[in-house]
Amino acid sequence: MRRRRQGWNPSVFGALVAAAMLLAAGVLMAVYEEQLYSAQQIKSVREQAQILAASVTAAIVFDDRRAAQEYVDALAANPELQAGGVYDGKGRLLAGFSRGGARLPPVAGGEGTRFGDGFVDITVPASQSRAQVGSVMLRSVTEPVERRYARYGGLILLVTMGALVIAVLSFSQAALTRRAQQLANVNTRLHQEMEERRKTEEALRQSHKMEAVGQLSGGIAHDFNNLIMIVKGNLRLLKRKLGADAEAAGGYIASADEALDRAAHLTQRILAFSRRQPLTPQRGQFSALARGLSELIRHSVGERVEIVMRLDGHWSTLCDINQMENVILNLAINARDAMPEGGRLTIETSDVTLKDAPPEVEGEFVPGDYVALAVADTGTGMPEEVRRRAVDPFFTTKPQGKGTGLGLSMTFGFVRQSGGYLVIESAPGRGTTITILMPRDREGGMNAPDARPPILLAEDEAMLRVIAVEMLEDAGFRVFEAGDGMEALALLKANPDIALLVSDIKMPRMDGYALVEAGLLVKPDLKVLLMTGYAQEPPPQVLRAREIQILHKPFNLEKLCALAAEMIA
Amino acid sequence: MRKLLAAGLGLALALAGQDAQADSLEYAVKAAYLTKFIPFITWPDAPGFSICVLGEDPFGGKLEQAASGVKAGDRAVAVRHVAAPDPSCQLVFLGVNDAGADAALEALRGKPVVTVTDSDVRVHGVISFVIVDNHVRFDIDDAAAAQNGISISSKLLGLAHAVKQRGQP
Repeated sequence: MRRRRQGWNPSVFGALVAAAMLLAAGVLMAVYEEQLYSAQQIKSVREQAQILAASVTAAIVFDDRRAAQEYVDALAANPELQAGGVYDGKGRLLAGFSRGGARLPPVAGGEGTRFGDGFVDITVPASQSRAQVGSVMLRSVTEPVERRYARYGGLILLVTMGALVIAVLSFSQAALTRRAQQLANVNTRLHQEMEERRKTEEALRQSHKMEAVGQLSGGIAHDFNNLIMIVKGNLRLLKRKLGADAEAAGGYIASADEALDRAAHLTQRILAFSRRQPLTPQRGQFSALARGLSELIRHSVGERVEIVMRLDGHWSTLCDINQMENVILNLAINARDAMPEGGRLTIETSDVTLKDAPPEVEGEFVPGDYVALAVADTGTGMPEEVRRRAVDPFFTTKPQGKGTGLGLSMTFGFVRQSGGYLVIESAPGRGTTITILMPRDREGGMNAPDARPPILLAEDEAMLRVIAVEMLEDAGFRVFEAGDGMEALALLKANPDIALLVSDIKMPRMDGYALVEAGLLVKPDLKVLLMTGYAQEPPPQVLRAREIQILHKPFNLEKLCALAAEMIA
Repeated sequence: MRKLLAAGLGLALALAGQDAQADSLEYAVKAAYLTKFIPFITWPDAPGFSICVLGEDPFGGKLEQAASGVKAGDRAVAVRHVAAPDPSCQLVFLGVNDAGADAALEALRGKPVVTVTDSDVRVHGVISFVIVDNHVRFDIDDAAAAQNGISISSKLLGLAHAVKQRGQP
């Protein structure tokens, strides 16, 4: 904000100086006027005395007191003259007047001007034909009282006016300064509010857009997923039906299956963006995650890219570790793609406490402790308009067929679903830094054995069972495994803290339904997750379970983990 | 004006019977007056300056006393006694009777001479003494002065008991 210089503005200062000068000039003029008046007064009195002296000579010469008196009395009309006297050649008083207590000197004084207290005596010679015949004396007040009062009054008026002008100017100047300051403040606040409003509106628009796109794509992906399941199931049925002929058609079926897997993967990613993917939050440290992935990243980005890791973060966070790994890998690959000529990839973790939202974060922000993971490249960077659209689904700058435009969208969806923020900093030629901020989880460290109740997994397919158990354990669960229903039931009886039963349906000795039925007798609040390859409605006794979920095959194991986590939480 | 002159004359006559001391004081004043007129009167240029007494001298040496040391401009003032009207005099006191005064005035008419008549004569010169309230005063006939080419200061005119202005018949 541009601050107005505090102080007098030049015009007011000028006016003040003018007022002060006026005052000084007034005082000077009063002094000068007094002196001038005094000089003029003396001059005037001297002239009157001279006139009197000139006209009274004959009266002096002929000792005509009456005539002399008449002459001198004519001057008595002048109120400023206190006394006047005519003296003959021997200095004797011939005629005169006096008033106001003044006394005429009986003998003529020497010629000239003599000052007394408040009066002045002026004596001039009376000469006729170059011969002095006598003298005339006039006494005048140096200044008449009313004139002095008028002068003092004028001076007082002048000083008062000057002081008034200065006071008024000072006051108005102060008011003006205060007003200008207020205006400036209001203006600044207005601009700030306008800017905030603009940002908020922009954020809202962006958030609405993402919401709409998310809902749309999420809905489509969901339906698509069902369709893929159906096609996949039908392919499996077709394979079974073909039996011996399957050898010949096997290649085609495998191709179709593979394509379906890819399609399923795609829908999975769309769901991730639309924040509808099932997540399995686990405590984890970004530093440990990044360290674990370093080999894979090095492999992915190739020889031309130098990798720098600065893993200073120690706080834990709660997020889906597998998804997070995907995200880191994805970001590393994006970074590589931004540096076709090679460069430096920096992966950095840190603990940060944020009071305000980072500038790139749009929408609401919760202040607090965050764990940060930043992936920075020294690549081409993005212009602002690209940066703003970077998380839009299907927005890609990669050549046709090279990218889906879902990578960052998925990351964004995942991060937001996990309560975190995605910060994209980039400028053309200055590389790109993408930072993931996840809320700090204060509970504990990576993969801490938690208080969650154990899971019982019943699956007759040994290969699948081993993978699933590993997966669930990786996700932080305690898992009891059973190869059939009987075994599972025994484990359930032995471990009453088991909260969730994950079971295949088709098993030897005791199938899934029977196991559930028996299990509910042992533990009425048992939660049930059934894995089935068939879209078949379970029998009613099974549906009695307090919470039951059915996972249709094929499913990926992450989904199993996520669902298990969701049910246990 | 004539009435005034007549009144003055009457008073002067009344004074005629006063004793010698008063008489002597009166003529001392008149002698002083004669010398005091000088600064208020302007004559045409002349080599000397004389106050002349025509006929009988009533001053008894007081005129010489009064004139001693008096200057008319830078000229010393001399007192002369003359038997006949002398136009070289600047100031002539007519110490003669009415007839003589008449003749003298006639003789000096048009000459640059200030004729002074005493208070006890009937005729009047340029300046004529009068006695007013027991004081010596004087009348001035400025018209006669103008006729004689003499100018009299207005100050003196202002002090005169009566003035016959110039241009008056």
